[in-house]
Amino acid sequence: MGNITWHDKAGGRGRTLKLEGALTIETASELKHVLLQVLETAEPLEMNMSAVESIDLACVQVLCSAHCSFHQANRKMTLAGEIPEGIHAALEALAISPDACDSPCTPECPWRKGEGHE
Amino acid sequence: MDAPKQLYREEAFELLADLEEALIELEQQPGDLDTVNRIFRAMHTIKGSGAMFGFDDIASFTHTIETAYDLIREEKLSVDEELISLTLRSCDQIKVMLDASQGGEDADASLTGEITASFRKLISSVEGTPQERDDSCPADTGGEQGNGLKAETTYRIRFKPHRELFRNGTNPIPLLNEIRGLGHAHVICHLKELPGLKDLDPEACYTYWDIILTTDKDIDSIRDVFIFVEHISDIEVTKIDDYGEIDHEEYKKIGEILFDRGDISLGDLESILGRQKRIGELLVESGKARRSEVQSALVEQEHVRNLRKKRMGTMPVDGASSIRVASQKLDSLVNLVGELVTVQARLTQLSAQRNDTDLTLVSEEVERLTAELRDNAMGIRMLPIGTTFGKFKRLVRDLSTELGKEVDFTTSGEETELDKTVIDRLGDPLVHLIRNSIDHGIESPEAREAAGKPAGGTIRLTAEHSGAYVLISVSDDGAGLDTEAIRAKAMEKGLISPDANLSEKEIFELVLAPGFSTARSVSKVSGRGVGMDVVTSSIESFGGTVEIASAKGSGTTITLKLPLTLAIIDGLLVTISDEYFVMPLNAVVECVELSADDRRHTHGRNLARVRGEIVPYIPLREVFSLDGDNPAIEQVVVTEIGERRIGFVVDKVVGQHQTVIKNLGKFLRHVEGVSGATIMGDGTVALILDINKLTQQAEFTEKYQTVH
Repeated sequence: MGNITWHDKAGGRGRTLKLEGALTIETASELKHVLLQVLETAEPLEMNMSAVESIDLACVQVLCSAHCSFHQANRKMTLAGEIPEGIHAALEALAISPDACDSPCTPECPWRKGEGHE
Repeated sequence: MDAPKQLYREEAFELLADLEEALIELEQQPGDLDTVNRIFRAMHTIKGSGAMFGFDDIASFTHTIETAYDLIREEKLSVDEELISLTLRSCDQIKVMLDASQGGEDADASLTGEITASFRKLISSVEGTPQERDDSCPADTGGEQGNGLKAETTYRIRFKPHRELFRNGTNPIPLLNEIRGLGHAHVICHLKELPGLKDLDPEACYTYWDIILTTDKDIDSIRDVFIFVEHISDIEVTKIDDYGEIDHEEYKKIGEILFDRGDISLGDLESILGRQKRIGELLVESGKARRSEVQSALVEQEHVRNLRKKRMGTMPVDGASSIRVASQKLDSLVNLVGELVTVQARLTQLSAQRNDTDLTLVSEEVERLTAELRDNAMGIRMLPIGTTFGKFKRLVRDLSTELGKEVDFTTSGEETELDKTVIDRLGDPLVHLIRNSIDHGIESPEAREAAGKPAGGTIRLTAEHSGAYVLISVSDDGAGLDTEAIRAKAMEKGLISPDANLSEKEIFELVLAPGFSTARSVSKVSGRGVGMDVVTSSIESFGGTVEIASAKGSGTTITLKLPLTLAIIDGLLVTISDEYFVMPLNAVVECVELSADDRRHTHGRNLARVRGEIVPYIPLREVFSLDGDNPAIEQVVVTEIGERRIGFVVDKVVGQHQTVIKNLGKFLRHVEGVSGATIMGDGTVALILDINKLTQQAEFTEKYQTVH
């Protein structure tokens, strides 16, 4: 089961949403809830997924949908830290790639290999 | 130049001829990928073999062009007139480079650079394309299986789970991996149904996949993978390629694939196809299809094309079973066969005299084998005439552009075979005829429209067999011949008398007379007054004839009638006094007797009555001034030239004779009325009569006597 926690950034400049463990369908609802909350506030979103061990399609869909919604609302959803291999492996197995995606947020797609950090 | 290099040059020139033809075709049908592939392959061979034989300049020059055509093949670059012209210029430049290797002038390096730069510009205009083509392995499909030799089938699978997939406890990853395990697969994921975060049901599946799978497993094995999800998914499995489909590497166009998949409607496709742009771009631009759908269709297209290309690479090619032989070797083979035919005739003659059964048996066997050998040797020299048609397409394109005329050039009968020697000598006359058609025949677009014709003219070049002849005609739908103008010009030149009563056909024939030209202006293209007679003499020099048919306002057709071969003919052996002569058998219609009585009936005029029809004849004894008296009963060999019948009076008809044509040598080359000689079985020489020339001479003498 995955774990979703907020961490204060160093120097008290905002928060980072840290995702850890196995992000499966059991975590999907919570993940959506948290992300929607941020979307409805004016707060910028920074996520760290470096401790994610694995991810399933349900959670990938939530993250993709969130990224798209943030883009539509002209808001930034950025990643801190590396995208771990477990996520890349799942994306590859699911054949999810920004190259075959229609979403207008594709240019800043977090799944683009090698672009998962700032 | 060493032999391999020479071989490369010959091959490169042939490839360039084919290339030019393909380029003109591509200009007319810019979307034809077969033609693009043909061009690409030709460029690839020119480049590859060039590098192998030390033509590095050609190899590096061609490399850039090849890269551009690879992009066209992948439909990343569109074909337009500029590209075609640029490639045609490249062909010319390669020719110069080839000539330079044989002591010709060096290729203009700045022109090479200019052409290369233009191609590079085109290549770099394609977004995200590497500058040059990677040669390593374009056909690599990357799969564990893909050696292309198994009986593999390619399927398109659309796996579209219902929303409740996850609630059922199903993870699609193992399913997709299982499919991948069946063979070589490309999986494309579609997320287009994914809603915004607010409307998203985190436990519903919004994703679906297209899978292109090449496998040696059957369709049931594929369906088995989905057996536990088929009640909560839409699964479509379609066979899109089969091992048996090897006849072409081409695969469906993007529009067809999307229509097959149900991603777009036929109406969408048709409305988009009307525009001149790449279909994928258009569909996305117009919102008819999503980029992901087009991308997925592209993946399918590439998957199948690569597969077919690979498969084709493993198939034995026809070319591998043929060899290239220098034409001199063939010529000497035919000469030897000719000698053999002569010796065989002698043997036959001897065996007939000896009346020896054993000898007769052997002689008959040799006769049969010789005839077979002759036919085979002649067959080797036969080439399809289409090999020369290609260069005319280029000629028409260049000339019509130069003269500001619109000309559509069509050909037919390319497969018609003709002796190589005839084909080699046919080039110049045909160039002349086609030039004439464009320059004098086809009118300017304005004049055509004023005459109620379409602005663009048509020139047709056709070839067909007709007995022992091949008919090649050049026809246009231009202005046609102006009989009055021809008549006036002929009178001015003193070719006819003012009161000459000529039929339309006779007037047309005047055009073929030496020094005749009706062109109002001398242009670069034609009209230098050395026109048609050059064509006529060249065609007649190898036993052919030229005929003109024309209707004012609707066009002209010029037909060349050519003998199939120049080396051996079937002849009719005749004698006059003690001399032997051979007449080409294919012109002979029949033989009739001519008695002294018959001669008296016509009051000394050279006319014979053949079943009620009057046939003029030529007394060969007089023509060749041979000694001896006419026998009481002579023979008239009636021949047909064009549509006319002409008789030739000889003493005796000996019979059919297979004739190996020998040149008369340079001292006797200009003797008129004789086209060659042949050696008889007993070693005596028989002259081969040029019945065309003899007829013309007789007509000339007749007219001269009438006029003066």
